[in-house]
Amino acid sequence: MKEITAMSAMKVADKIKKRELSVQEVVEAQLKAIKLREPIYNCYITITEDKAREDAIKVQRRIDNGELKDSPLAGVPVAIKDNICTEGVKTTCASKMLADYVPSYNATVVKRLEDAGAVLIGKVNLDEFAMGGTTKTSYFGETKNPWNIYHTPGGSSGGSSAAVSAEEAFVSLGSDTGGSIRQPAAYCGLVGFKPTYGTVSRYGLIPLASSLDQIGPLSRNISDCVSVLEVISGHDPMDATSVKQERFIYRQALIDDVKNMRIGVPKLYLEEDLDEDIRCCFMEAIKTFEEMGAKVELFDLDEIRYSVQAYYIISCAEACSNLARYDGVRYGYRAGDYEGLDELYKKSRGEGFGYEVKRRIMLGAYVLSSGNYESYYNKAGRIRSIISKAYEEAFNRYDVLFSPESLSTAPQLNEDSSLSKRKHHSEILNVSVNLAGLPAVSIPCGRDKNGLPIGLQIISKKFGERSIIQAAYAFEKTKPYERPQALL
Amino acid sequence: MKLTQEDFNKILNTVKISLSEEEEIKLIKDLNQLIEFIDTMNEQDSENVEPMAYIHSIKNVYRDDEVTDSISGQKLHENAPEISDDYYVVPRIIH
Repeated sequence: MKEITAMSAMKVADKIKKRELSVQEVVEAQLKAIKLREPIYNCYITITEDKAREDAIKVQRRIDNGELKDSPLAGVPVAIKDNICTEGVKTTCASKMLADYVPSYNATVVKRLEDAGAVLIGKVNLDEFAMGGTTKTSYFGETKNPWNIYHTPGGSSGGSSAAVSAEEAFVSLGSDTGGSIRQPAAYCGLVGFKPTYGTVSRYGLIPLASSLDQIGPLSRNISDCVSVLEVISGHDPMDATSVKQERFIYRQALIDDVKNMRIGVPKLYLEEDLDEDIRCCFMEAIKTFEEMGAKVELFDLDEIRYSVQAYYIISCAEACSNLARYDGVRYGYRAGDYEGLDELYKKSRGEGFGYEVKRRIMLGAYVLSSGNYESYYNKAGRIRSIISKAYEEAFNRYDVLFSPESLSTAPQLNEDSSLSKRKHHSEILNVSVNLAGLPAVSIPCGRDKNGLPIGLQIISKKFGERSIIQAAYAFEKTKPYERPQALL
Repeated sequence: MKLTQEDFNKILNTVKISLSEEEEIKLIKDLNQLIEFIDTMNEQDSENVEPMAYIHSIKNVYRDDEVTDSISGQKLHENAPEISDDYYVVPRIIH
């Protein structure tokens, strides 16, 4: 069993293709691993056991009929973050508000994965409405990091990262509004890819901040990641912000060559109070790239200094507007006891939302209120322009930018994660990428003295995914994937 | 404190959320702390910079005006807390 679930997605797909394994065998092995490990890690909100078994038979039939010859994911079990709609399968956003919500349609990414023969194995945990970086605000309990169960798997896609790391799924989908794919990937020693805004359809992704949200894969290596990306990306008429390109092909970028690649390292990141172990691993990674023939240069990128402030304003303003739909009338939680419509709204929302969601809705309403709109919302938009332009200029000189994914490794679950200066600094590395709509990946680049994984972030210009993949692939050759030692 | 109790109440009423007393005390404190933090962005000069709301160039997106399938109302009603025939049920609002 362990032998099957420990394989990469591409390896297991290959074995299915060669008839060395059946889709049923793979799905059974996956379900067995989930049953064994779920009591420890709590990655899943819903395990779609019956559906997965039925789908396994259907997918095997399609393979036998020769339908899925070109699909890299045929028969591969995948986990989906529980803010992405799955027809007939509960989609809760880890909130009491949507605890019983069953979508009547599939998100475009889910449809594409199923068309490609991937098998949905379950819906994974997150911070409530994807608001957070620890998966602790979930209504369904916290998820544990497979590298050390006293630590957070990160967030908000913490179920997505823990499930792939704990071999409870081969690959997963997460969503990234301000680092929510990359940071959990870094904390769990995985590859986590946030594509350029508009590359992947958001249709069926329950929105947090619509101008920043983007769906992307978490995987154990870059080839698995590329396969998922190719399946889920491309134009969708149901999402007007998806770019008009039918398909994106990234496979040719899996080249072990970074000779003469121009790499920029923003000084700002290194001036922060980085954990010593992270600094060490980061500098070593840079050295590796130099030895492989890349040209690395430090440079100033001070324009992104106020990213977190602008991010808070823009993301909370958009969230406030997006979450207005939960009214206790059309779907979602309705309070049991109320008098009049106004009280129905207030009590349903007051009881249905957790504290962090309320905090962000309130901040959003504050920055959008008359008198504040110009000084907060528009000011944040201006800063966003400045950040975006600064990145654009940097990419005139560099193919990719490097940074540590975060200033520390996964914090302990009982650590207070509220407003600290250090946390704000840490977020600059993540949120500025979303504000500018850029693609970025986090890949594993070592471990700290406690054995916790460290992530290297690689950023490129809009639609510069191929440069990122090339750099990540070359680096991975020098540092193959490590599975958590604590895994049963 | 930048956000007074009065402002707070006004905003709270627009977002239609009931709070416990404990939540309210914590939230006012948290929001003031947050506002103090985001105010530091004013150190950045942004005069003559246009605000940006969307990362690609903004243009209208049109599609052909064709009839396509949509999700049935009946299916959508399955998620409603309370329905009667084809209607959502709310407390009486006209007296």
